[in-house]
Amino acid sequence: MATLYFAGAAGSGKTAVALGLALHLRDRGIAVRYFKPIGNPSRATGTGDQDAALMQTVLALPFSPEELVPLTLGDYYLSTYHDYKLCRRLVEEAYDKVRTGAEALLIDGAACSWAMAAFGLDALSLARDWNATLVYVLRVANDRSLDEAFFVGRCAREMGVKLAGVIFNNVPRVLLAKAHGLYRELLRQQGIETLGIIPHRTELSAPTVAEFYEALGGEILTGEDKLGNVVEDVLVGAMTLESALAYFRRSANKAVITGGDRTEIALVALETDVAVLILTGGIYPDMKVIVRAAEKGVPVLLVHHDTYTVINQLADVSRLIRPDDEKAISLAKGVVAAHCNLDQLISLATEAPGA
Amino acid sequence: MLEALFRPQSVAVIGASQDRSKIGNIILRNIMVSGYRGELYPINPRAEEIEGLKAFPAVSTVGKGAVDLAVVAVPASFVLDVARDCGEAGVKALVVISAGFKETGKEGLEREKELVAICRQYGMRLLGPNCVGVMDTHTPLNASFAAGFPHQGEIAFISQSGAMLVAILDWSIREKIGFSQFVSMGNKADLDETDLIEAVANDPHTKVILCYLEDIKEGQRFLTVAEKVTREKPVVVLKAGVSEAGAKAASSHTGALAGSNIAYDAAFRQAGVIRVQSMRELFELAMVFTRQPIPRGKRVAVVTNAGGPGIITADSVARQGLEMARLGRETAEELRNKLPREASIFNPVDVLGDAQPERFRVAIEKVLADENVDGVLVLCCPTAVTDPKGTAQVMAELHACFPQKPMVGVFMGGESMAGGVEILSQAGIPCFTFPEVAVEVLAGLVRYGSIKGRPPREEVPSYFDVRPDVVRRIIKRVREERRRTLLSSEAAAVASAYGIPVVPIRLARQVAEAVNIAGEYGYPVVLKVASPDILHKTDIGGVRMGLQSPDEVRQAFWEIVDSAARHFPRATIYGVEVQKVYPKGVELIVGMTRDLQFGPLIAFGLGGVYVNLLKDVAFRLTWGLGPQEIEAMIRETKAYSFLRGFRGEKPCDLGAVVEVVGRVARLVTDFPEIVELDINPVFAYPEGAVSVDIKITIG
Repeated sequence: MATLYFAGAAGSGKTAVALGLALHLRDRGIAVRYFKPIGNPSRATGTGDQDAALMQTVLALPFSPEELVPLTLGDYYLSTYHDYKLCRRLVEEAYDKVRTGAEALLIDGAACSWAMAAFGLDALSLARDWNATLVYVLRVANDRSLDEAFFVGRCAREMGVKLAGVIFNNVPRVLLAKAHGLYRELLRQQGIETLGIIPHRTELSAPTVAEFYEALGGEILTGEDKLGNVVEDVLVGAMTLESALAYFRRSANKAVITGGDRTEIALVALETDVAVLILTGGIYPDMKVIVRAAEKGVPVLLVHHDTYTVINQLADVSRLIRPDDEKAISLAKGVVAAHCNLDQLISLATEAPGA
Repeated sequence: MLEALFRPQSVAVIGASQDRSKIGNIILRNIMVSGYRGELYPINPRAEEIEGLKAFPAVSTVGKGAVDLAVVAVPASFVLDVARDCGEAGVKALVVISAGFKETGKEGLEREKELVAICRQYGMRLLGPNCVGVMDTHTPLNASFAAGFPHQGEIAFISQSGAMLVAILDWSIREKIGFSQFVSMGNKADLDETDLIEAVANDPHTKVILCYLEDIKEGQRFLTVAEKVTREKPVVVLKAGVSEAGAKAASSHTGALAGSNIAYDAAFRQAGVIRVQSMRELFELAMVFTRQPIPRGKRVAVVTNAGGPGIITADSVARQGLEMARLGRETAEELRNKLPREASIFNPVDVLGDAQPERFRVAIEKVLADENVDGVLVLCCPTAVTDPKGTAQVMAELHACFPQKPMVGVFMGGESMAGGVEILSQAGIPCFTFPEVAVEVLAGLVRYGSIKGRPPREEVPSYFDVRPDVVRRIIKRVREERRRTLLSSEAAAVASAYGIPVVPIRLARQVAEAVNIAGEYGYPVVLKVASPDILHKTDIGGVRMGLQSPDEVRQAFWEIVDSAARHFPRATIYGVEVQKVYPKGVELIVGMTRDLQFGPLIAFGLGGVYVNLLKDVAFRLTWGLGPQEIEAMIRETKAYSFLRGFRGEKPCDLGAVVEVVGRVARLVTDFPEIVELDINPVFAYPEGAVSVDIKITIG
């Protein structure tokens, strides 16, 4: 029995990697369990941690959500959980319960590695306390992303946590060669292993309309069946009518945010590749907009906030894989096999680290 | 064509009612009152007899194949069942008056789709839904709920607005303007402007086709049909929604998307459609087209009894793009002999304020007989001795003698002129109170003359050396990288594959690569940041010109990448593109935007910094765009003066510029996924031309 602790920033794809690996472990007949000490509160819909719900369903785990995710990281968690000893106990009890009988335990990190460090429940502390092996999942945007890996590597060494290595996730095509050559080599020189380099896959990484809807709330005016549309870009429709078409054309699978009264802008946007039309200000649009969107199969979301607020709310929306999203689930499994050192990950997950 | 719509042997009115305030009853009575001679069947399951006619419970009960045209005025929720029944009964065309379709929302949209599907299934054509109906004064048939029936005439009017149609109808009855056909298109679920223009063009009673349009449903088909029709009959279009405010109103009116006004202009010009800007112009042109012949040319003679108005008219003639005719020597001689010495015998011919009808006759007859004159405008001002009636009588007689030359009158005045105006009206000579409008309608006639007599559509060259495989490969890679914009080096490769000469440019991912490429090209070189996320490279220090050495290239590489990353921290930076430096030529722009209705729209003009300043740009659709039309487009711009050699400069290679445009047109025709393309600048030289900076967006 071994414990792998997946840490990384929000949206880095920790859960997708853990999911992929878990499925491979299960295929090999290994009793794999999933545990997430600190979960994310989900916003508009007010349900529990979605990652845990996904893993619970996919792995058919016999635990309650509270057992899989004992704590939730609210913005004001110090007020909610004032008794840190109790928190610690809750986490320990749940951890003990979930790992009992497991042949491999995959722990999913919180939205950031230092979450609940005030209680000593940050990823590095827990990994140390539970003798777990850390796998750092890193979403690469540019060279600066690499600093994160070095920093975590150093912290782990200082704290005596075993860092198995780094998985570059969601690597833009343009950086793939660099990751395979330069990044891997630089990390190796610092004694950090690269366990995988997963190229960007929109189907796995881009949020869907459903995530936007969860973040924003509001009313779906049409296209209830298209909430699975992937959103790759967000554009604001605030320009003149003449420039709108060329502007909207420059981007694909986008969310277009515009005022509910900007009928022409909305209609022009609908002539381009739109994943969702978000109408702000609570202004019910002209019927033509809804009809055209229905014709084109584009969901329309009416929200009451102004455009600026909507953009802010969307800033940290990231992709969730849902239990019924078989395509994404099998893709997660596929990319782990294709782009990670799967054998090594499996042995890390199953063989207790050398004492 | 569309016989069943305009000239049905039998009509059923579904939803006919005994209640005279109901639409179904009004339509039935309209058909009866219009003098329709075919079979007429009121359909109503709860009536035995309506307006003295035997009523039937359903069209199918009338008999299979017994009904050509069914006019439907039942609530929307019953329309689908009615349509199926009509289909089963072998009805050929449906006019659906009922509202409650696409214009009302999603449910209505579904209903409309279903209605179209039913019509397709049974091979029925559909007018509407949500329309006023259809009229043909020669059948005669008034299958509408409009109040009144137009006078018989030769104007067909196709309208996207029912209200517009009803208002025009009412006005035309008082003005005694006749129509051949009146069609209200409603939602255009099946029959649209193109179908209807094609159909009315084949109507022997129609001489001129008027349209009020808010959008065009199928741009390419419209172009093809209109291009043919306008060679036979004038098509005059009032396209609403030109301004942004108008577009907004149009889009919320019928759900029409405001297409680009520029594209509409180009489309109408290329298809030979006359576009007018006002309702007044629409009907004035219509009237003149039905009453006056098409002149052979644009030379106008003005005969006047007053100097001032004559000069104003001459100004107007020039402004409208017409010419004041230079009268032949013989004409001048005869006028000199027959008119008083004070009279002006040159155009405008001034017969003086004391002119009686006979003096008008002398002048008008002579100018009409002059082969240098294509059309005549007669100006009559009220003086103490003026005889408007007599003058009008003379004009009418002379018009009958010279029916091949258009004549218009301007009778400046009010009460005293009324009698003369009436005589002109009877004689089919359009008469106006002021000269400007008269010149405008003459200009309309002249314009249609050049449209009708235009050469056949030119061949679009095929350029056999193009390499679509190369372009396909590049686009595929861009797509795989989930980009919509091409890097400059990719865009240059695309253009080059289509034989468009480009300044060499290549992507360097690293400094060493950049130095190598620069060495290969030879110094100086230009470096540009390569990022699909950065559109205006110069603004953020992303372009460095005139780099003279490897050291300067190295330095510039780092500075560019740094500056780009600072301004756009989230942009993906591919590296830096190295470009060879070419000598400056005349700077031109060749652009393309794919219009939603009409497809690729090419823009040409002065490039570089002049684009935004001078807005010196001409437009054409790539539809049917051959070298002659490209050259015509170039000639419309100021850039043409530069190309010809401005102030002693050597003239540029016009042929090379035409070919750049032609090849761009071919490229965007072959690759519908290219939605925007801009080459700015293109350098034109005395020999050849080359594209310097190319931007391409794919859809």
